[in-house]
Amino acid sequence: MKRLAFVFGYAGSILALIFALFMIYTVPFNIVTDNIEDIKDDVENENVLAFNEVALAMIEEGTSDYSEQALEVFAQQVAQNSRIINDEDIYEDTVEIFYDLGWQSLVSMVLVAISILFALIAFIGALICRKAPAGGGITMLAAALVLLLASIYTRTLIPMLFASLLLTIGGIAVFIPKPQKKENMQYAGGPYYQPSLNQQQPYEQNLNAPPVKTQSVPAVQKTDVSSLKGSVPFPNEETQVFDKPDTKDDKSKNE
Amino acid sequence: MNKAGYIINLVGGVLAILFSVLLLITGSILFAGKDAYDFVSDNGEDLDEVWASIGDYNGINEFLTDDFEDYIDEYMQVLQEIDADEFEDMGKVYNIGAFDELADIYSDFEEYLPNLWLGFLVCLIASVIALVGTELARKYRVGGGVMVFCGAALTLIFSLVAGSIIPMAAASILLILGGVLQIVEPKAKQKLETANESEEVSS
Repeated sequence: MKRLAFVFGYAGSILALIFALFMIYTVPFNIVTDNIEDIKDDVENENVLAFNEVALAMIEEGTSDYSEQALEVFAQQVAQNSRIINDEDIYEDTVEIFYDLGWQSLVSMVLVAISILFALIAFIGALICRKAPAGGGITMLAAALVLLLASIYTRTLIPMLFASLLLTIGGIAVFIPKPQKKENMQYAGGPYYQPSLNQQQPYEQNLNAPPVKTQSVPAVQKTDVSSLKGSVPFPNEETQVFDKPDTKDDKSKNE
Repeated sequence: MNKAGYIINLVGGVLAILFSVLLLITGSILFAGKDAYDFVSDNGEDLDEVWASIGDYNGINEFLTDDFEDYIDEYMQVLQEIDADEFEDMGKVYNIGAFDELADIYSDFEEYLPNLWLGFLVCLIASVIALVGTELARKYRVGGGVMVFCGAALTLIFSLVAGSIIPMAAASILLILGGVLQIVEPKAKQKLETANESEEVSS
């Protein structure tokens, strides 16, 4: 299953890297088209004039605080000094619309960078799953989840879904245990290894085979027993093999 | 397997994929970036007039005289359908020199666009081939190495076709270097084989 995990993880990580890099084009395109639709729905001519005034004022005065509340306060000040539009609500609505658009764009581009990073992490996870299966599998699963969430937010789900699926399969395959073969099953008498078919063929004498050379065994040399000092003498064949020790009955009889 | 060659090929393959996808940006900038910069610097003051002339030529009402939504829709439609001939015609009608420069830039870019798309697609496919060859070279040394070489050569050639060779050259060089390292038989294995051959001859 490690090989299967590696193949799926490798393929999925390459696809994830390609689609994450494609997000550099597709996400800004989606942002521009969606923003244009939102601008067309929410922005009127007065809002355009108000935005123009606020932008020019920001360039002249050079603000450093770009939070939503700070921008609304700034818009109110511009509205009070404006000679074109006297309605403060238009300035506040304008700032709110463009702040939301800007914030959404910023978050989307950060998610593109995160997607590229996690695609690389998934690639590394696929490479290490051969040596460290658990670590590689968890890395691939985590990367697949992050890529999926990022693609959902940036509305580029369809291509990334396939890559995430491959990474998920690879990450799960690592944890599936390898099925055991029937040949390795243990019997009551101990481990039994069924011999292969080649080993089960009966022995057939090969008459054409060259004769096997055997090493000649040297004859046993007779040794002179009398020359052995301190050794146990060999028993006499005519008498008993071993001399029994004299018992009390024997001693009394002898006496 | 040569570990150094394997790692170099992995790095080169990932860089090749990165530069292949970015080829659309780098190729466009290297081809038309200087011309676009010169146009803006020479005709910066006339840009408002150019924009208004485009609207007037296509029958779009002036800014803030009509509904803002209609204004956006009409300009988007015009920009999608405009071509170099319309720019030249507008230059003659309104007697603005900027339109002639725009027409030249637009026509050159239109001729270059098919090469850019071809280079992008082939470089991307070649990068994937190189990465697959890197893994195959672990088991099939020569076959995998040949795949890596093919990928490197294709990325180099078609990045030249797309007009953006400099970033891709780095990735191609890494792939070629890694491919060489993976194809060349390790010295230890060579020594072992020659030692086995000499033993067989002596016996």
